[in-house]
Amino acid sequence: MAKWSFRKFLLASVLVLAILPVITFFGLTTALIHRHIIADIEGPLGAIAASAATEAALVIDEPRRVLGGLETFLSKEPLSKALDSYLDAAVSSSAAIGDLAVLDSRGRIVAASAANRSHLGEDLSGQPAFAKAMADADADGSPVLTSPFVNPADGTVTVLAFKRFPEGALAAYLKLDEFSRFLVLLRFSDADRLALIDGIGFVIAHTDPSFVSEQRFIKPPGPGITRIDENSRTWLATSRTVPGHDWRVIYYRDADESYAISGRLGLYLGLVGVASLALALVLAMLMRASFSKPFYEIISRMRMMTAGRYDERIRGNYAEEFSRIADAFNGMADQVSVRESRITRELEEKTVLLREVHHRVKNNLQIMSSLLNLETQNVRDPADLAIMQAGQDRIYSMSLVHELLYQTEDLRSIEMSSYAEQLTSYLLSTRDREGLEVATELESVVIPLEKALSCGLILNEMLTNALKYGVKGTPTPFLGIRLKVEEGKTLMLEVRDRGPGFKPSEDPRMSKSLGFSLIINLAKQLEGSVEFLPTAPGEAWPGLTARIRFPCFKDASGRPESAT
Amino acid sequence: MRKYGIKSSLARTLLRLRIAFAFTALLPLIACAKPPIKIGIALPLTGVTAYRGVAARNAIELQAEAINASGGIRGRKLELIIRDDADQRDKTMTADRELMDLGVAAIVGNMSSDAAFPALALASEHRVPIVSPSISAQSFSGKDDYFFRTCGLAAPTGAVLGEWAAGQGLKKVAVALDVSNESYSRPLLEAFKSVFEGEGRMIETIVPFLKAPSGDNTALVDALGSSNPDGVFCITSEVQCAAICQALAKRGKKPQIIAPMGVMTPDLFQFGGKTVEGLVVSSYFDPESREPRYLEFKSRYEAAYGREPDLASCQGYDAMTGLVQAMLRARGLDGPGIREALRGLGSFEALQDLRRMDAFGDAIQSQTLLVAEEGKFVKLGKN
Repeated sequence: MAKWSFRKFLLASVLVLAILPVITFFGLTTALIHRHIIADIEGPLGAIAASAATEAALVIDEPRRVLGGLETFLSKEPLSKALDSYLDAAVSSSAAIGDLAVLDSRGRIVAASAANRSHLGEDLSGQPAFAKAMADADADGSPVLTSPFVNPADGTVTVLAFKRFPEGALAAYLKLDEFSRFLVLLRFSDADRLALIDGIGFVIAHTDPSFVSEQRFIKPPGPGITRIDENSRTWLATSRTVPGHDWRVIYYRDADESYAISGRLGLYLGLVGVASLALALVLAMLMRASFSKPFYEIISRMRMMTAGRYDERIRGNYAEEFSRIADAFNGMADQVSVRESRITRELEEKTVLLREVHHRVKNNLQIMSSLLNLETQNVRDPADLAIMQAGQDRIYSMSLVHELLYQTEDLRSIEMSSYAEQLTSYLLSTRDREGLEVATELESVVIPLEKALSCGLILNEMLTNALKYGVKGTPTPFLGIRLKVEEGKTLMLEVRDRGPGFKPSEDPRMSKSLGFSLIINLAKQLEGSVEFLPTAPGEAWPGLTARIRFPCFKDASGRPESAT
Repeated sequence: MRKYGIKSSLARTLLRLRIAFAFTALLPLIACAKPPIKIGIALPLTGVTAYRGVAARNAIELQAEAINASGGIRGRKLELIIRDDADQRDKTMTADRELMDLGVAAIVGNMSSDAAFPALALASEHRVPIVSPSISAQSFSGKDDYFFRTCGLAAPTGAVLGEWAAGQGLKKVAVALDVSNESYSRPLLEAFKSVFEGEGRMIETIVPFLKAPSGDNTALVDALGSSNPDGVFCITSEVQCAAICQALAKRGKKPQIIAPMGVMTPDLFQFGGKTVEGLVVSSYFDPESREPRYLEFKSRYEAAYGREPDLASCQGYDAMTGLVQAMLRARGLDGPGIREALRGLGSFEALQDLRRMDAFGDAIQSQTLLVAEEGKFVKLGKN
């Protein structure tokens, strides 16, 4: 899981705190404005629609008014010319009725206003509205209306209103164009539309006459404000039902015009939003400069100090709190730097001193060796001479450890193969080595000082013994030296010769020789083991292989034990 | 190498913001990637013959609404551009030209043969196919042009009516011939005549007239009734037919009225009342069809418009179906591409049948004899 980032948290907080209120404000304001717009449309436009609906109801009811005076004439048989005159007068006095016809109960025209008089005797029973009107038992009910249709007489779209009376029905052709003109007068703006539709959705009257002439269909809108999409325009519409009928008056307002103020405000709010975003980004950058940057500066300097760069300091003009942290850090860095310098200096001094000690030890041992060498000039007894030589070799083997030691960096360990090579060279240089075959197999291995001295002495004793007994006078003079790390943790040191070796009945461990005693005892100190074996068992010159093994490394990594 | 992650993290954040803004800005472009297919609709929407045009338009709008609701054609919505051709030559030319200038891919419409005839050249010139719902004149047949129709010819219906009239024992038939649409009405009459006449049967009177808005049919009916025929063949509009029926009834005459299927509108009953009862037509439309496609359409049409679909609405719907099927198969949704698809359409599932179309865009349909009874048409001989 990713670690929590204070810097990201800060940036996100600034952005959220800056943008969220703007978005919330934008959303709420837009919603409120839309609500206001809807209320603005629903109120006054709804009132106009209601007014038009009331007017439409009056138009529809016109036949009932005409019918009030008609009964006087209908009662006279035969129907007189006075009835025709009454119908003509009713048409001319009404703004809503274009023509009138009186039908008998079978649907035949028995009287008509002037324009329809040529249709006397014709059958209008095929009009579904006639049958419905005749079935209407309520004499005082509203007229029954047809769907809009084209009047064959003049090609205009009209609606027939049938009003029943006891002997038949009165049919009135409503003047839809007049009502369309009335709708035009009612609208607020030329961009607005008003429509009167029947219960299905067919247009009865409209501010755009083509809607009526082309018998357009409008899906009746639901309650409240309805959004209506046309091909390229969107309208907000509210409607009212014509009292007593299923007709509806719909008021349309152009949605773009209605929402224009909302759009402008949206633009302003958008600009404010962009400005807020920019401000938020600036704030975020400032936050980064003021908070995030100092944090990372401190972290950076800490890492540098960890890497040993004690001269690095926090620089920069930060806020007060961070300046204090920076000052404290810089103070701490000063102290650490001073201490580190002192420790380094003291360490260097001690290193020099230690190196000098080793150097002097080496020199002193070499002086001792030289003194012994001088003493040997006065010794005539070969046995004494051999003792002196052995002592001289032992001193050399010890001085060589110190010599190699002070040449190293850490003064704590030496490289054993180099030691073995130099010791072998020294010992061979002090002896006759004619015909001697020397085979070295030395792995590079570093061992600590405390083991190097014992190991050096053991090697010296092994080599000295081999050169003394295993080389001289043998048919195949041979000296083999092997230094090897076994299983990553054990050092194996081996010296081989092809001399006479030991008789099977002899045990080198029981030898009273100082050399063997040294080897065995020093190996014990090293917690190691010693082996003395014939180099070539069963042969005339089996030789001797002296081998020690001692733990020198802690694990398989090859690191010196003392180094851990 | 990353250095404490300040710059790279900020850069990533800014990049994300830029991508988000860019994506938001591209959204409208993605949404507008496919413009709508403009389809012109030219129908008689005004005047005394408007009923058929209005019914066809309503059906076409219903179909386009359903197609758009289901995702359009090849992911493009249909945009209907509707114009009134008023069943008149000059207005038909004006309406068609205007639609072509607006860049429509095809036009559905032009219901009257004589009014639409000059538009053939216009369609070929602009390379915009016209698919007519109802033009049935023989003179439009066999032409390798941009005109197509999804209805059968008129002449076969005249022959069927002639056969029926002869079978009913009618001897003298008077004909009211609307010569304002003569390329349609003449072949119809000739087909009727060729089958009917013979063995004492004859066309007694032919009264040609021009479609007139006047409601006075006195002279026309006087001429028709002068020979006292036992049958009248009204090759007229439904309104004119109703007026003739009314006038004959007023004179106390009740000859057998025969008419082409074009009179099958509610206006016939509204203006004719009981006087049109018994009128016989031979129709490509069966109001009693049980075809599932028709029943489903009928249900939707009634729900939308509160009335039953009729011949004109089915013709409009079928014409649109033919065009849509062609567009689905067309290589390109331009005029020539749609025309090639219409030529190779072969057949398509119309509302009441599997409509076959030949390579010249002429449809083949079977007919049904119907009679007017109680305000509607029913199959003849059913009762």
